[in-house]
Amino acid sequence: MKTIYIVLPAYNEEQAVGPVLRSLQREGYENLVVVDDGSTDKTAEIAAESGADVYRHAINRGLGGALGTGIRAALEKGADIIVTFDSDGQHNPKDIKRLIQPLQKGTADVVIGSRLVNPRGMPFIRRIGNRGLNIITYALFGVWTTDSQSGLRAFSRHAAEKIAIKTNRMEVSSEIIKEIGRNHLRLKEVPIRPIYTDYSLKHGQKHANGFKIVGKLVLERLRK
Amino acid sequence: MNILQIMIALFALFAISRSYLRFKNGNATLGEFIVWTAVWLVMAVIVFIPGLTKWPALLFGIQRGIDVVVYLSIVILFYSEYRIYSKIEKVEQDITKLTREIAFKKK
Repeated sequence: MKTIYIVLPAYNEEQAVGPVLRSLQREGYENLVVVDDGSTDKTAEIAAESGADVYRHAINRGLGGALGTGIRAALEKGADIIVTFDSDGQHNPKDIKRLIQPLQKGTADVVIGSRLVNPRGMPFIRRIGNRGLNIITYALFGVWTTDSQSGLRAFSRHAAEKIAIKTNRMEVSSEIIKEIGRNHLRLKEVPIRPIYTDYSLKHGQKHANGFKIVGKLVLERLRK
Repeated sequence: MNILQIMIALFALFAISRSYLRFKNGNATLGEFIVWTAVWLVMAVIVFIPGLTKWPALLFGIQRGIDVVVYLSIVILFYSEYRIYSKIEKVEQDITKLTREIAFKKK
């Protein structure tokens, strides 16, 4: 029976983190790791009250930094499967079962929940931005994904151990793709339906930063 | 002697003296002091004898000496900026490593 850990990076999500954690617990997921990335509100306290294992960053490092901490924590606790899950309510806990299926069956090392297999409801501008980014990601790293920026991912223990997360901020999504290519990990994608509310739209990735992401990716490619 | 020459000469003197003070206080290595002094001396010399730039210009096949100075300066500036950027990236990664260790120690 594989141990599943859910890692939730959180920055100033005191409003959403409680309900998100409870919705995960309702689906039967008890191993919840919340990484409080230097929040200035009550995110950490509320997460702890809701039964999550909370790790606190004294300084805000960004999504990449938080994921690195969360994944290391999950590995140390003996996780067999690690799921990254957004704490702003954009992800649906019911999608996790389908997401980890290829890992349970052993047919993949990493699974990404793709929002673009079923693009209903996603703002048009974001879709175009994602498409461009995915093409560039393939050109740079040789891994094709329809939604490299999705925050809903699952890793086998083996994959999580191999992946070295060095970038700090939101470009970590693309760095993970690069690591998948570098380590020749098997990637599968599973369609998911994100929950777009005013709240989650405000907290999601801003498409304007796509150019900055590309810039950093190219630099990263050059540095290796 | 024009105003620009005087200004740059004074500034070069100021920069070199600052660099020397840092070296004396142990805030800069001898190598750094020598390099900075050389840079400012070269700048001061060029300002006083602009005709000197005609030699590099001939070497590179460019019309005006000042153009060579500008081109070289741009290349050097770009390279410096790249190096600074790389160092900052490394510092950010180090900060994250420390923040992570603290997070684990707090448990």
